[in-house]
Formats: sequence, structure tokens, C-alpha cells
Amino acid sequence: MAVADLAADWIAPYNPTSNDFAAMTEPPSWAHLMGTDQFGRDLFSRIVFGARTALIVGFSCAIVGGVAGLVLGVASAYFGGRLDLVLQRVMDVVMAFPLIIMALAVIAIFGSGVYNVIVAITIPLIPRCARVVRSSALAIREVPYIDAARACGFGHARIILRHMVPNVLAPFLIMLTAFVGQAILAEASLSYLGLGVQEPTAAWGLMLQGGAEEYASTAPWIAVFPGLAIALTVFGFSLFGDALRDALDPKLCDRRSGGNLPKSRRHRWQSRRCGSSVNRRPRLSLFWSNRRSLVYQGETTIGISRISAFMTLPLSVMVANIV
Amino acid sequence: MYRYIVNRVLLVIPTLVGAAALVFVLMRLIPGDICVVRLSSGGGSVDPRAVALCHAELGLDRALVLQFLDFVWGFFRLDFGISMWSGKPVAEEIAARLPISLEIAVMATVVAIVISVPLGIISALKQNSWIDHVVRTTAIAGIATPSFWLGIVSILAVLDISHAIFGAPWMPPIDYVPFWQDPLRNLSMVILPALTVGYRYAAVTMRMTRSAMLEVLREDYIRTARAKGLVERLIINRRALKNALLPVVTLIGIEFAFLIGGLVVTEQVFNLNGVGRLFVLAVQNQDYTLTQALVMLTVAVFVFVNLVVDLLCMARSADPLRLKSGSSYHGRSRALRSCRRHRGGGPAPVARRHHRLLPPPAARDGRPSVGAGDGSRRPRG
Repeated sequence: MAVADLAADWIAPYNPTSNDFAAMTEPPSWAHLMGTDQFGRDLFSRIVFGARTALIVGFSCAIVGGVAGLVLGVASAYFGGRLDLVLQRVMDVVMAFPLIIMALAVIAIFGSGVYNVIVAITIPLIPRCARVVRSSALAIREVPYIDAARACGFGHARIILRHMVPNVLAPFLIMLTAFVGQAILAEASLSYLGLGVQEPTAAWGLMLQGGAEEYASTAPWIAVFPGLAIALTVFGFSLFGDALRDALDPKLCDRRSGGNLPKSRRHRWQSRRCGSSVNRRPRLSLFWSNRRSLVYQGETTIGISRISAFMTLPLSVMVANIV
Repeated sequence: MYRYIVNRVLLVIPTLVGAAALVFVLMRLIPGDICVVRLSSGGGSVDPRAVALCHAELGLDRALVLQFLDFVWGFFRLDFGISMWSGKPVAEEIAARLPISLEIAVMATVVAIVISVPLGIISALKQNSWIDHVVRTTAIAGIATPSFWLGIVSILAVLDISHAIFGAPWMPPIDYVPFWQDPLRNLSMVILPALTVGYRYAAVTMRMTRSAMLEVLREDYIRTARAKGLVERLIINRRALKNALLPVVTLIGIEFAFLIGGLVVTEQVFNLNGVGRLFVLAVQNQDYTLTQALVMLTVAVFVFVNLVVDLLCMARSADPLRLKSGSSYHGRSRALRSCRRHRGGGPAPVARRHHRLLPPPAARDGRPSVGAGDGSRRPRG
């Protein structure tokens, strides 16, 4: 994906926007690896350039939404009280608000285009991130070293940045990877509805909107390849998020979880994931030494009481989708 | 506890009012004027006096605050007003399109539950086995696949397969017929969208079931139950499943609430005239009353489902606040209580037979029992 994005100009055999009316809806061949669409544009080139759009949207939405959510979530948990109450109500409203209406409104007000699509997708991601971060941060606020830092007379900014943020990074990072995939999916859905990226920019959702349905029976490759590209990319990011989750979730770091592995691998595997990682990861020592506190049974994504912050991750990510 | 309930119910109000304010402001920020759009639909220029008259008719010439208060007051009386575009009551417009959206949502939920819950449990029980890997990969694929693409591909597949089998391509019917009038026709129309949505839904639920089950299986009270020699089947069915299904039920509830108004893309692909399409139409036509009503409907369902789920969770755990400091105490006491019930009181032959630490029941009759666990101290009835 990254290679396709950075080297799109060299990989793509054709210009993604140039038409070749002599070669319309051509099936895949050596000249056109994935065939051509109804305007004679090379599908492979468009998919390669579409990767660029997808990654720009995915990463900007995830990073902007994630960081805003992190700041709001940690601040909400740390300061508590009235600020927390007000912030959480605002988050409730944004979260309950249908994403599609938000997107429609943003696009109607600012016009369509990649940057407005990013705004439309980022806004609903913020409260989801803030909730998960807040539920982790609430637990961390209660641990003694925060009291100790306060007793030492450190300022709020220092306590938040040095002591709280590193400790909520685990769920945050997992969520960030999941957000990239979800943002790509949301962008494709919006573009498919005609509300996202506009022609002639190459975007996967847009490629499905144009000729995919019309030519579905005569030229199925127009419908199949862009969809595969979306699915594989989001699949990759989800898989990465899952692996990250497995590696960082302290609940999964259990001696019994090695039970199904062959005996020869069991010890090594366990020591890799459950052993004294504090010593081997000095740079993240704060983060690792306190990881037990990350598992927190309490208020979560949407006020559900009995699931931990880690379990709200799939919940918070999925509901942001457009179906 | 009552204070928690009252607090939780009262918190619904600011959310609803906030959502009302947000949709009200957003709709008015969108450039354009419904009166101009309506009057110019036949082409030609628009008379400013006609626009003013139209504004007065729709109540758009009043102060914004008054309009907002009117909207909120109408919402609390469940009176959503009249659609600015079609002139029909909003409730009627929604009621005409609700059945199909509701039907797809219900069918997708059924599909999701039937597929996901058993697979999620198996996947958790056989963690890291090949079944687990297959289930997880299928689940991630379900989340990664865009549902509109799946819709297009499934229509394509049905066309090709029906062409190959019957010699002529078969398409699902386009006009909606209620289930009780013509079940076959209705189902043939709804089944594809329901399966498409259901796959993604099942994938989400499956992952949740798996992680919830894994988390619960590592709880202390499960270890206690195992140490007491309870058979694995009973541990899974009676202890683990009850607690693990709670977040799953939550997720199902939230997804269901979301599906009723949120099937915008799927309805577009399958050309269904449901609530999701009405949403897009209403915003594009600048129909303030209809959009506001639809948003409030969606938000209200969402908030209500959340409330119910929260109260259910509270009813199960009895003291939601104490859970913040860890729930294993509750779990353990519950496990102990039910353990006591099985071992001391009612018939639980399977559990007793597998309790290898104790002598056979016959040897223990008539004397105070050897104390492995508090349940055995009670005289056996």
C-alpha cells in the first residue's frame, strides 16, 4: 500500500485520468492488467492512484481524530467534575448523531473534495476515541504515582503528558490502526454515494459508483477490482490492529493462553509476551510497568458498565461505519 | 441504586436536546432555500413575494429561537409536523418506509446472531486452533468488506447463477410487498440485503463474543468453578456464557438501533425505498422538518437502546459503581452461590460425579463433610 502510494507515478502504467476511447470496458489483458472502465481508463493505474487517496484520507482522519480524542479523553478524565460531565454530553450527542447526516451537511456547506471528506469522517471518530481513552485514563488517575506527582507539585500539563498519556497509549494505538481502516471504508462509502471525492480523482469508492453497477454483467472487472482493493487494505489494517491488540492487551497475557501451542514453543512464546518485559523495553518502562492498570472495569464507550476499555475497542470502532 | 437509575434517565434529556440543536443548526447552515428549490422546480425565475409567502406558510419567517422551541416541543409531543417538501405529515412519510428497513434490520440481526454467537464461543474455547484462525479471518474479512461492494457482487452472482440454471437471469422484485401478503416475494426481495448486512453485523458480533468469552474465561470465578471440579460444559453454559453475553447483547442492541435508519448505502445498492434513502432525499431537498424528525428518531432509538442496556447491566451487577474497583468479587460470590446450590441442594449429579477430590457420595452420607469448599458444609438434602 505504502509503496503503491509513494511510487504511484512509476508503478502505474497509464495516466489514471487519461481516456482511451479505443479501449473501453476491455477485459484484463497484458496491456491493461485489470482491464479498462467505461471511459477507457486503465483500472490498474486508477487503483494504484486510488491507494494514495485512500491512505491520505485514512491516515489524516485517524491521526487528527485520534489525537483530538486523546486530548479530550485524557483532559476529561483528569480534570473530572463539571468539565467531564459537559464534555461527555457533547460526545454523546456527536456519537448518537448519524454519520451520514454529518457528512451530507459538511459536504453541502463546504463542498465536496478530499479535505471536506476528511472533516466529515474525522468528526464522528473523535468521541469514539475520547470515550475509550477516558475510560483508561480514569483508572490511571487513581493510581498512587499520579498522587505522588501531584504531591511533588508538578503542573497539570506535566502530569498529563508524562504520566497519563503514555499509559493510555496501548488502547490508543490499537484504535488508531483500526480507525485508518474504518476511515478508508467510510470514504469509499461516501464516494460511492456521490458525497465524497469527486471525479476525475482516482478513488476506490468512486470507481464503484460510476460504471460498476451499469456494466456489472458485461464488465464485472470494473466492480470486482476496486472492491477487492478496499477489502484487502482494510483487512490488512484490521489484522494489524488485532495483532497489536493481542500484543498489548494485558488480559491476553496469561500463562494459560499458551496452552494450545506446542510444548517446544510454549515457554519462549510466553516469555516473549508475558515475561519481564519491563527490563527489555526500557523506553516504554512506564507504559509497561503499569500495564495492569489498563484493564479497567468501568464506564466505557457509551456508558456501558461492565466491559473493560479493551473490549470497547471493537464496539467504538464499528458503530462509526456507514452500511 | 435508584439514584443511579434516575441520574441515567435524566442524562437522556441533554443528549436529545443537544442532538436537536445540532441538527437544527446544521440544516440551517446548509446553503439554499427550500422555498426557492420548490418554486423553481418547474424552471424559470422565482418571484420574491412567492418565496416570502412560502416562508410564512412553512413558518420559516419566524425567529430561529421560536422555530427551535417549536421543534423541540413538537418532538416531546411526538408531533413531527408536515414535510416541507411533499406536504404530507412526516409520520406518514416515515411509516411508509419503515417496514422494509425494519424487516431488513430484524433479518440481519437474526442472521448475525445465528452465525456469530456459536462461532464466537467455539473460537474462544479453541483459542489459537485452526477453527479460531478461520473464524477470526472470516470476521475480519466481514468488517473489511464494504457492504455496498458485497451487495453489487452478490447481485452479480445471483444474476449469473440464475442465468446458468434457469436460462434467464433472475432479479429480485423491486416493489415492496408486506410479508403477510406474499411471503415468498417479500423474502426474495429482502434476503440479499439482509445477508449482506448480516455478514458485517455477524463479523462484529463474532469478534465481540470471542473477546468477551476469552476475558470471562480468565476470571477468578471460572478458575474457582474449575477447581471445584465442575464439568466444563456447565462452566461454559452457566458461568461464562451468562457474563460473556452481556457485552454481546449490548452490541447487538446498538447495531440494531443503528440499522433501522442507517442502511443508506445498502438501500442504494439494492434500490430499496427505505428510511436510509429518505434521509438522503430529505437533506438534499432541504426538508427541515423531515430531516429533523429522522435524526431525532435515530438518536432517540440509539439513546433509548443505550439506556436499556445500561439499566440491564446495572440490574445484573446490582452495584455498577463498585464494579470500577474490579468485578471479580461479584463473580466469585455468584459462582460460590450457584456452586453451593448444586453441591448442597438440588440435583447436580454430573457435577458431583466429576468431583474427584471428594469421596463418593455414599461414603459421605450421614456425617459432616470434608471441607473442600464452603458448599459442602451444608447437610445434604
